[in-house]
Amino acid sequence: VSWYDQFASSPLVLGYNPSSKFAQALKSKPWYEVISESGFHIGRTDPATDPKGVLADDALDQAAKKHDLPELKTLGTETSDVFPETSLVGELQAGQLDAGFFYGVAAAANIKTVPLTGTSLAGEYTITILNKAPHEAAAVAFVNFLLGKAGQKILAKNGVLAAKPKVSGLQFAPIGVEAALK
Amino acid sequence: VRQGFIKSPLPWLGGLIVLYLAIPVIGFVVRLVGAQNRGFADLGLFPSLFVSLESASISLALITLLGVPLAYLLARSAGRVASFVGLVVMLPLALPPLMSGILLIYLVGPYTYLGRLFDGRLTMSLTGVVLAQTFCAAPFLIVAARSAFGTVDPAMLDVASTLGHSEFSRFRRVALPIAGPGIRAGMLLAWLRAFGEYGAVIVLAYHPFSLPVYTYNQFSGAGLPTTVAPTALALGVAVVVVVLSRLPLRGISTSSVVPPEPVRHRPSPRHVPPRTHP
Repeated sequence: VSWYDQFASSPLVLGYNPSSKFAQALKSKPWYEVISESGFHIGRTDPATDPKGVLADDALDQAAKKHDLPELKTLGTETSDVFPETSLVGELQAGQLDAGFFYGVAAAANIKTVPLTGTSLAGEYTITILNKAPHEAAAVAFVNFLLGKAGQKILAKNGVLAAKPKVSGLQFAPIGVEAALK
Repeated sequence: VRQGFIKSPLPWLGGLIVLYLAIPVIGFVVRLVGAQNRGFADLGLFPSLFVSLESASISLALITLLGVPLAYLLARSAGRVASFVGLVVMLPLALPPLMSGILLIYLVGPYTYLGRLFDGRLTMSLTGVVLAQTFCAAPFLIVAARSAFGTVDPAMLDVASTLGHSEFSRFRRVALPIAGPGIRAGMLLAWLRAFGEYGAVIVLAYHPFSLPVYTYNQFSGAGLPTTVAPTALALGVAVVVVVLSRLPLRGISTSSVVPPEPVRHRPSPRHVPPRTHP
């Protein structure tokens, strides 16, 4: 790999279970006050293996600092609220969690969310074409599709925020996808 | 005879499966001896082992208390209801454990009727682990105990009945001693099944970590090497239980059930006619 393009992002949000007794509070009060209430079950993913887990920790840290709520920082060090990324949605829907950290795309997966006010953390989507890719023509076609009108439409429909292409690595775009990366 | 042994395909086929079943264990033991970073130092290891030992033992107690009487009744009755009940209690055995967990979460999840009744504590707790294990492991004991009770000669129970023993007394003093070894085998199987339950447990109670959930978490997070420790512990537990299952039951064997002893106090089913029956 000698370049990559960041083409979209999805903000980190708090997904919650609408039957949770904290649901009303989450909609009316700042999220950082609600999640530190006693009895609130929040789920996050393992920061050691999942980038979303890192973002969630960052969100907790930022809010802890900004609003002087040290208990939020403690939340980020407990391990009993760490779940595998793949089971977080199920746990939330089954009611075992009141809320969890999700990407904004989760809203498209029928999860109710509130924004993490005061933070601007997001998962970033990047793409590249491998050097000496065995099917380079197909890869070029896919990148052009994804960054083209049709691809952007699909991304938007699924809750991903398209961003202006930002190429890192090479100074010039690789042959075939120059137009799409502009 | 010797030539027949070589020519027959049976020993070869049987031998192949023995190899397949034994080699992974032997290979693991070799790896265990030589490996670095085996995960024995991980702080979560022993707590998860204790969660599994504790929950499997509680599950077994529940399963035995409720399952043995059921197995006795099922073995003693032949009606349509009995065969339907027999089928229903087999279902968890036929179901993939993960699906059993899904069934259970609809029953004991925090927002279900039962879940609210217990303030959501039926999941994500030791209780949750026990509920999942009990559901999946119970059929193992019920099947074993039912067939063990099936070997009890009905005539013996009838005799006990003529001696004035109540249904419960016949169960306790005649059927239970005879079915003892079979029930014990079922109990060990059920305990092992509960101890190793993963699918249903992970749905109901990802936390607190039980040994299988912990092991999968290590596997997916920290990598393969650190799963050596929990695997070794599970292997050790399995060996202990299998050895236990081979020990003879004290005082209970088919020959000791009907001892030719003289009557001392009141007639007991151990003393069958013609000697003690008037």
